[in-house]
Amino acid sequence: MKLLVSLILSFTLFACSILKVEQTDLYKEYVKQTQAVKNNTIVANRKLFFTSEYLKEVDLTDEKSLLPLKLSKYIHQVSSHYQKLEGQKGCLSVNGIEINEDPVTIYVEYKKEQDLWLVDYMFLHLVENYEDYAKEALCPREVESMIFK
Amino acid sequence: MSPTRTELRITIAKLIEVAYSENKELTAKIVRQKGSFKMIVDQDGNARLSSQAGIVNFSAADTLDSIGVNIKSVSVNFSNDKERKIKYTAIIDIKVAKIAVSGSFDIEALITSCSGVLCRAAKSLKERHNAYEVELKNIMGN
Repeated sequence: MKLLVSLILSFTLFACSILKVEQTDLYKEYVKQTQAVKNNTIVANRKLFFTSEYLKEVDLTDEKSLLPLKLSKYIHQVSSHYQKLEGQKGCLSVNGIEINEDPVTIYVEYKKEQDLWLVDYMFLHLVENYEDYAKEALCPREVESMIFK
Repeated sequence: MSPTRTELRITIAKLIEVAYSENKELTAKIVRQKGSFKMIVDQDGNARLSSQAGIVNFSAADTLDSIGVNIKSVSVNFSNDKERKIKYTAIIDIKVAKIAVSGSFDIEALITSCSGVLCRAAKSLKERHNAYEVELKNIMGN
């Protein structure tokens, strides 16, 4: 009986640990961020979305410096997305269209800081056609080295 | 401000035209030669167009200023494989993020657009010249 209880307990703990990994959904973080851009709250709530390293490079007093906080607004409508996780780091690729229906892909690198998945680097690819869409999760620097040899 | 892909493409054209207005002969030689060439602009606006044919240094500060975004650097790889059409991929570094835009254009159309009034417009980009913008838009695509 003890053995059975301990087996059930072990299985439950194992299942829970898997479930916890599966629960990390970077796309949800991306959606929250795009919502904040749309609602014009991204600057005020920047620390909920971007790492301190990322924010170091953004001068909040200079309007011309704010684009890195608002890059996601290039995607008007999302068509697909992929994510991959490696420990405390994750990468998300989001395909979509601009408001004029031109295709666009955004690659976002996330870093886990104080239990939050925060944007650490972004790469916006204004692709020429739909064939250039991301077909898997790639990190921004991987894409850059692929398209710019 | 978020520059559109058309605005970014027009900026690439303007950069070539500024190089052309700086050194017509060498710029024409670089862009007409088969193979590849590069353009690099640093955060102070110091630009360099280069290939095996030579190097043209010029100032791109006013051109980049017209985009309305703080830029750390711009790198553009061009390849001139087919008759007249030049393909390019540009990466605009905005410090913690980058924007990439690609395209192709007819180099002869771009060079012939750069004459008289048009080249003077390229030099004084702060004063936008509508006809010039439309012409570049047609050459570089939307």
